[in-house]
Amino acid sequence: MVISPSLIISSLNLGILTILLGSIFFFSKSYFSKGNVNFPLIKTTSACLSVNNDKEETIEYNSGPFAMAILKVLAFLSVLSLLVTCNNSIQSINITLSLWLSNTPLNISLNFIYDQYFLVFLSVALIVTWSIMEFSFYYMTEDPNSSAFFRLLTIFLLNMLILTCSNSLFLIFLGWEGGGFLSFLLISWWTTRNDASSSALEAVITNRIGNIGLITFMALSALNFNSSNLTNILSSNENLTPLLPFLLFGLILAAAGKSAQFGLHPWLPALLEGPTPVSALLHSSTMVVAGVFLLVRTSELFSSPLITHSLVLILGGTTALFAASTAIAQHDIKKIIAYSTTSQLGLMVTAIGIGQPALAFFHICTHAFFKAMLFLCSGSVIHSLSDEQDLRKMGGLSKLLPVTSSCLILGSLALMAPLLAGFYSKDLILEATSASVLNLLGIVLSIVATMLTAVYSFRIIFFCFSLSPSCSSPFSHSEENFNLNNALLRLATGTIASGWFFSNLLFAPPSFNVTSLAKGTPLIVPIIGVAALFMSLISSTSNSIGSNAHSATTSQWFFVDAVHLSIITMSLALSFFSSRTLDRGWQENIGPQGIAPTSTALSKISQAGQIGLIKRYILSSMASVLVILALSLLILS
Amino acid sequence: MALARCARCLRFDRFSPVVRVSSARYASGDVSLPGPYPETPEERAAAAKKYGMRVEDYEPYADDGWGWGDYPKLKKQHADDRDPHGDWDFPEDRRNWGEVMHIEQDLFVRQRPNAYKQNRKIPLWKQSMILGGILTTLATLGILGNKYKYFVPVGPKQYPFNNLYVEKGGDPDAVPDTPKNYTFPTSSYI
Amino acid sequence: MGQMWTAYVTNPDTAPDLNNLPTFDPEYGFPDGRPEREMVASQEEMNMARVPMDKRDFCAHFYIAFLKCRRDNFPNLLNCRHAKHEYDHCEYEDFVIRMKEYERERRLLERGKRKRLVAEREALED
Repeated sequence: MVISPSLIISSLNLGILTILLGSIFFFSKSYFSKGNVNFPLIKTTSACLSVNNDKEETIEYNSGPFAMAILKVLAFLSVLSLLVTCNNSIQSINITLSLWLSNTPLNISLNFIYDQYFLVFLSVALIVTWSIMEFSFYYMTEDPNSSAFFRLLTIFLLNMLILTCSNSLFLIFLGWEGGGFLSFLLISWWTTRNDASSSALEAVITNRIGNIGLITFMALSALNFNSSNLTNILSSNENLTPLLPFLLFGLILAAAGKSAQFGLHPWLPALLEGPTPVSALLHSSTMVVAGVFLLVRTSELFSSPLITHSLVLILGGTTALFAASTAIAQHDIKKIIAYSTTSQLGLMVTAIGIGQPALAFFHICTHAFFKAMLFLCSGSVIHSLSDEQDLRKMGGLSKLLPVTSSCLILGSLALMAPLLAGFYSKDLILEATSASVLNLLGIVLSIVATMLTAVYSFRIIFFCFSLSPSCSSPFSHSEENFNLNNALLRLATGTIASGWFFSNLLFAPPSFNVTSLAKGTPLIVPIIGVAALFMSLISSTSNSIGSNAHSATTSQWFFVDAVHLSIITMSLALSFFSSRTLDRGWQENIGPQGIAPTSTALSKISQAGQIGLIKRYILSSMASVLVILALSLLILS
Repeated sequence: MALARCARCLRFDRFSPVVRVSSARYASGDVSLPGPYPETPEERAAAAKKYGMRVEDYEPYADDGWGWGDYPKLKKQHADDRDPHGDWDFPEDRRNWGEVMHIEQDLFVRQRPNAYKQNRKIPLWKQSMILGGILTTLATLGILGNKYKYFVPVGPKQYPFNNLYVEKGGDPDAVPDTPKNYTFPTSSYI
Repeated sequence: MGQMWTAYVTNPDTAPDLNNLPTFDPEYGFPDGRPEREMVASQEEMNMARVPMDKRDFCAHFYIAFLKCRRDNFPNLLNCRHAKHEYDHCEYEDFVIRMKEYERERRLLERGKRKRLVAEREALED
């Protein structure tokens, strides 16, 4: 058998998925009591043993190094498969392993598609997860059940990879749903915290709304194209069915739910209740881009000149503007980064709306590096300042945490300064926006959002560096932990190099013919934003700003309050009405409360005949026989 | 009992023994809740004692057929609005042991959104107006922008081979006539 | 922004339809005729090179050369800067032709309007 590159790639990728799946079963429990420990088994290379000095002498076995080793190997394997793909300029490999469910007309099969999108995403996701796993080994050391945490992260990664590589809609749904469920488990990791569990509830409920969209899409595509394979759906000539708007609506709803677009956004900032590695992995780099990834995969459906293009554009632009304007007024460092994520997701959706899915995907890849790094930096800062999240109380961090703070600067600059990762993709998106025919509002929104991005990014830098340390008891020895430093530095390398690497060596992004003004916009606009920020910082006084506009940005445009109140009021009014009319109203009166008196009255009437006289009984039976005879005669005649 | 309540309200000293008395303030399991509507002042006092409240504070739901017997009408206060740093018996729920709950307590727990916030900094109607204003402005601009599109002054992109008729899935035997694409003679403007 | 100001505010009646260009005879006003655009790559070549649909324009041969260069110089893709530049330049020329088409259409529309006005004025004077 000839070893062809496609064979290598498909076996490599299947191998990665299989190893990941298999590794889940080898995460051990965290604690063994000494009596039960089988020492030679545990003293493997991947085990980390430390004997506590407690009275009970428990031995801590942590599977963090194991997870790190697995992910490291897989990351190198994925880079290998990416290189093979590039070398042979393979566009996509579509393999069908076996029939999964054969009893359906839809032919549901284990159908994977290994194209450039998946292969690049695989490498990025594995490298980012590897770094985050290393970080969480540092961050979760004191957690009693950290092995389970690593296992959940790995299962999540597996789900994400299934979502991105599968061609069958059912497998996509599996990964989609699995990601949502794992996100629920990971946010409510500290289960006893009420805030955490309510955020997890909020996330899972919002994700259900997105799932409605995906299920709509699946059902309608099964109805229209009689297939559950994405390639079949996209290449079908009957794309222009009358149901196409509903299909697209389902897709947009799914993407909006998963990628936290405006209207379904409140869960993303609420997710910060989870541990920081979770925020870094799920809610900045991988899970939230699943919606955008779905749109990228199905972008050929959007090619018809419908109003949907415009709709997606405005949706993305609104999200970008909303999140950016909210981020500039937050004080919680993690919230700023979370809103920044939402804003970048909006920008990705904008790129879908102008018909450039490749650019949206490019932004996904670069964004994963620097946003994961920003979250890890914020986790390191919060850990070092003993759980202080308020940006205003951080200051002079560069003295205390040199590596973290330089990475923090790097990540913030990546969003606005040239030659760093985020700028490559963002610049391209803005260029593509200014080179195409589109809704005027879309371009305005994306430019304003870019300006605000620079403002909040610079605000983090300003507050972390300009002031003197204001925290009570900083202990900066956390940077001596090489797990933290390695993770940060690896992601920092990605932040510096990935934009250049992807644009030159992988994607060959298109060039656009734009005016010099439009070309300069991504550079000029952040400078204006930073200048405006400095002006306001200089002119601002210590008095609190009480204007409505300020409150609108601090309280997320009042969206959450207004929507919660309206939903609650409506459902309460409805339930009050139904309770008054049904449960305690006419239904109760006619039904349970009505039947009892009626049947009582009826039985009382019949009781009148039952007085024990044989003549009465004979008479009544004769009468009934007569009645039956008369009736049967009447019917038969 | 009154003294205990006072101490509870004012929180003089969390270590003083009178505070401990307050945790006995619950309706015991023998009593079926809610009881019948209290008619006389004596019944009211008994009901108030049953729920561990002062008679002045005790106010049952009106007995108009939709009421809840002698169950007291409590303040609608969401748990989010309670003191987050208070000395609660259950700090996560912000609740004390044996505390009389609102009849619709499931609306006021931490997991439900808080729609009962009193004394908002900006009144709710103003909040809705601001949100609605922003969204209406965006929608109006979006509709206008859809009419007046942003464009670059160029013609449509030209493709060879009859506008890629065959490549786009057309029938190769019946290629339609599409206008040819011309360039510009370089010398025509000199 | 000037193009939008012209098209929407000052001269909405002579604004060209962006999707239907040209509405005039392409040879109109070119007494010596107009050279046709040349397509270098053939359909088979594009199929063989698996050129994406939106790249199958008049610059497809440069794109194919670029792809080929990337394949031949694989690890060192920076060698293909020249090929990329050539492709970009071709696309730029294509863009300029499209701009000229738009401008020609606009000027012809304005010329038509001028002529119509002159004819109306003469009809009034008669």
